[in-house]
Amino acid sequence: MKDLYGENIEYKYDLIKPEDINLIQAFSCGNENLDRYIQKELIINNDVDTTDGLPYKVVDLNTNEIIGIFSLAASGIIHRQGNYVHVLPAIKIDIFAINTKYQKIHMDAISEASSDPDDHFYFSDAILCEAIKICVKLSEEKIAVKYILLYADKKAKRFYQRNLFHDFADFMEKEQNMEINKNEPMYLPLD
Amino acid sequence: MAYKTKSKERDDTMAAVSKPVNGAFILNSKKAEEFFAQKVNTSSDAIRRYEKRKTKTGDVASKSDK
Repeated sequence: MKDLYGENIEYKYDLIKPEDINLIQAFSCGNENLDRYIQKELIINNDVDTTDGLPYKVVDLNTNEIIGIFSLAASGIIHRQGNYVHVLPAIKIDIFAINTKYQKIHMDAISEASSDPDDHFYFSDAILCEAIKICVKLSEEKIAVKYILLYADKKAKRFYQRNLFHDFADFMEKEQNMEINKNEPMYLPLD
Repeated sequence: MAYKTKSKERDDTMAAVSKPVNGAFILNSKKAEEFFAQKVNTSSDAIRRYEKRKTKTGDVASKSDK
């Protein structure tokens, strides 16, 4: 992938289907647990596992490789007020995984040349933006949704911050926070 | 059947770390006011960041089958 910029990669995204099993088995994001799940459990016996989200694939139109996999599911922010419980509707990004071959690819030469990390824009940012756009479209046309939620691996927190997700940990009930060891709760308001 | 839901725990996904609340976040009541009063970037800002990049460099090809 040397000298390749994200702006040159043509891709499409679609829901994962049972016939994608061979593509799925060749996918690796570098996270052992996630790779094992994607390669061995996401499609079993001609069924796609949708337990925790509806999985999408992003495919390179030139190589037919899977660039990334993400999954979306209904979720919410629970807000207790006295005896009442409000659920602020949200979409959770349960999985967000980028093929190791497509990680750290700058979108263009401008990004690569910039010495300011805040001015960097990676191809993976563009893929996350596609997931955000799906959520926006749903919220505008199909169903009321106010937030996108996710738990970020600590190593990926900067990636999500760069894409304007915010920390939720400080606003979270302590009891729930104790359930989180290596992941950071983050959110992005939809508007 | 193409899509199937099964109950199986797995690591490194949101569901794995948020079982008690089925994936939802619980807002601390004492901090709710502060949470709602925040002026933070939104999805529009995130998409604008991407679109701004596109206009600098030309269109980025993507297609959806949807």
